[in-house]
Amino acid sequence: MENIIKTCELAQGVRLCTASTDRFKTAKISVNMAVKLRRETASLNAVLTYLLHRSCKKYPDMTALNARLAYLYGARVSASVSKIGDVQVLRLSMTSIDDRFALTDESVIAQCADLLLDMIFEPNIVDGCFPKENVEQEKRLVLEKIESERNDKRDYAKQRCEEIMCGGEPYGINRLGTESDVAAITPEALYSAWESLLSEAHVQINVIGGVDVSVIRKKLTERIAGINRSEVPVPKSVRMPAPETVREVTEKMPINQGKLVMGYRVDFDESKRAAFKVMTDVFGGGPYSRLFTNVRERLSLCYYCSARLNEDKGIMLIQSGIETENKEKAIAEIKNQLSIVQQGGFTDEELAASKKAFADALGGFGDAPEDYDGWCLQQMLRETVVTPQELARQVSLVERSDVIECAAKLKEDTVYMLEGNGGEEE
Amino acid sequence: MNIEKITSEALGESYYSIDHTSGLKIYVMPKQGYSSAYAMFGTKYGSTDTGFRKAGEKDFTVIPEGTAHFLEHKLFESEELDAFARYAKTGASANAYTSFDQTCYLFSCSGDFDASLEILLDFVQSPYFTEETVLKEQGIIGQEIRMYQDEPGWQVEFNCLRALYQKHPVRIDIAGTKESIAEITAETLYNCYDAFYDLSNMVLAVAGNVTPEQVLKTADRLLKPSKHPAVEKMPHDEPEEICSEYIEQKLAVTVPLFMLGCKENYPEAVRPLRHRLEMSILLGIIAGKTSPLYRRLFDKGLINSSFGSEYFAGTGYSAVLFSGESTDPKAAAEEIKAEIQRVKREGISPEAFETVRRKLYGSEIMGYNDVDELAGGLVSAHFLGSGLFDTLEILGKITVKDIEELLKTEFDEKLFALSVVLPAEQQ
Repeated sequence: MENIIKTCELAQGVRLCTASTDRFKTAKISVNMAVKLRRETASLNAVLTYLLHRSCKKYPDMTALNARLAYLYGARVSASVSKIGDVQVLRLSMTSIDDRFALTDESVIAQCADLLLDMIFEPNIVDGCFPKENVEQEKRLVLEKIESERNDKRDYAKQRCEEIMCGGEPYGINRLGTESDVAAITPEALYSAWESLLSEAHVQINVIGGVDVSVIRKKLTERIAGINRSEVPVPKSVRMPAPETVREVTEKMPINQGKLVMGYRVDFDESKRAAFKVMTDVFGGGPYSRLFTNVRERLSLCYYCSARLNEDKGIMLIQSGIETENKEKAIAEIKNQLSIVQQGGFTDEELAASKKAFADALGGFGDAPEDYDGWCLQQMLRETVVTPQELARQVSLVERSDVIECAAKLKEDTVYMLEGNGGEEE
Repeated sequence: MNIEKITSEALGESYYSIDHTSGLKIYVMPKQGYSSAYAMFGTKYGSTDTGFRKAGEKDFTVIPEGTAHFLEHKLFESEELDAFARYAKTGASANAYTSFDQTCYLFSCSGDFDASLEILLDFVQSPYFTEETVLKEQGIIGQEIRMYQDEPGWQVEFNCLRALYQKHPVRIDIAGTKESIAEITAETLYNCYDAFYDLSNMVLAVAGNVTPEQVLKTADRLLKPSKHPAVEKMPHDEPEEICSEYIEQKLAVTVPLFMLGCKENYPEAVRPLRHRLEMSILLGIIAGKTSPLYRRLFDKGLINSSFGSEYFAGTGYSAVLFSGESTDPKAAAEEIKAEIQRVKREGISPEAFETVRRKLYGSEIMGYNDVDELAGGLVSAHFLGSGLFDTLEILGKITVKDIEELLKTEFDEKLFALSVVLPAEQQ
């Protein structure tokens, strides 16, 4: 499969990534804005992002906007806030059916693109500010989102571990900020945040599908020309070392199953990215991995036990849902398996299985618009976007000694356990 | 062997429907320009199939709750290499799932499709269960059950089903309970396998970078002819009335969740595609993002972006489900019920109907990108007795009058049940 990802600079700090193909029935455009994650602005930026996708100057009423989207054949607009390492990424994206499926001769994609850009560049501003009612509504929704994150215990435990590990680092801040910060937001502060975002954020726009890129380029260039862009360096993440003593934190909740999260610091080397990916996979990735075959299959301790590497931040998290009473047993086995990988105790078949899985997954890359969008988003802060074909080539060259070398770069940082002290009895 | 090519000009798509000599129905949907293929091998046996009787038998054999799901886990094992170890050699990414009325085994790959398909067809047709392997799995599935017990979305739904249904097994947890799975033996699994895993009860669907010839090459070699066992599923004598109007559970949540269900008593066991689509349109009009109800609930702070509605249906059961997070679930439920009565009294505007219909048309088209959705769609359509492209065709034919007619018989006020998950007191 040939590479179709192309990138170009539209303006200072604004990059366009395109994947032009007519194999999809839809077009997808996402606008991704990155700023350093800071306590002072985290909640403001989060509330702002969701507020922007709810209305715009042309459609100030939410229901009218939803009706417009429904009329445009159910076009979907979504907003999200995430982290790439120490950087907060604010995202608005739009999916529309391709023009060829419209029931009359109309350019659906162009109309949807205009709507998306209106949301960002021409929001619903009244008397020089966002309307107070809309702001209060959005604050309520983001507050509920923050609270709702605690409903999913697996995610909650992961976040707690990250908070503890990275307490003094931007990454330790919740992507939505805090409840008190959200509550304190005023329409004026939000308006200021919007102006700052447009002038300072590092921006990447991803365009996927049978879209006329020249048309979108023109639209984007026109909108950006109206903004006074400052010269701000690309926000970066800092990888920190592990502390001298391992942090151990246990919390209790009225839940049935305990959640264990073990955090490791990784002395990450960007030139060995592929080797780190394979090491993580051999250790705790697919059903052939050390953790799956031992902690789950051999010891029956859990339904899931996986390792995930955060390359930007240099952190690996191992997560498992276990009976509280099996905590020590699980921790011992996880450490045992890591030690086995570090000593090269994994078989050639295991390494081959991992490399083969990567090759197969990368070989099938591009069969969904989300493949391109996610791929380009993940690399929005990197100077060049590595193609899936290039990554596949690098993975094919990874050897046993590379995996061992990468595994040696892990140092234990934190063990977090969310203990169940019993939920509802059946 | 009958091979039929079915085409949709409007979508620019085709698929092949094959009546294989073994008795298995096979669907192949080649996708232009795609590099991966997604295959699904499914059987019409799920968590709601709690009993069966073979021809000539007097009594129904009752199956422990969670057996279909347990069987799904165990089928991957073999006397030699288990299925995951075999897939590791081809690089395919494999999985399986059990739902209320189906169990499906699947893989996705871009490289060695023929070898991966061979593994899929082989391991699903080769049951191997021992007391030892059954015992081992009880620990793993026990943990899976524990995991779901802490998931508020899962609990609020099953509690709602328990409130709506008095006897129908749709109210039981798909994975069963720790106690019920302890009753499962290797013999239980072999009995259920023989009853339901016959090719006449199954379907194979493949979508992506694949041709029908390629699929048939492997199918011809691997498929064992159907024995056409005459198996009768145990019927469920579900009364029309609901079980209870309200059910509440306390979990470690911060934001409460709710699910308001309305039981539907439909004259036929199988709810046809047309009816399902009409219900989806009706729900879009009543509670979709363009509806006055949605706006009212939103402005009153009673819902957030997690709110949605669904027409939930299977063989012998169906209900409308409204769900989401809410700081005041009872108030949200009252608003929804009041709006339904208002719409029944005042009717539906042609504009509201057309808006929702247009939106569903677009959504249906968007679903044609993903090979996993397409394979899943082919399997579901087959078990429903319809074709993949029927949805788009029917959407074009439904009129506002059809929806008005539908409204007259839907939403019986006595058949509503509210399920709520509230924050537990901290200990």
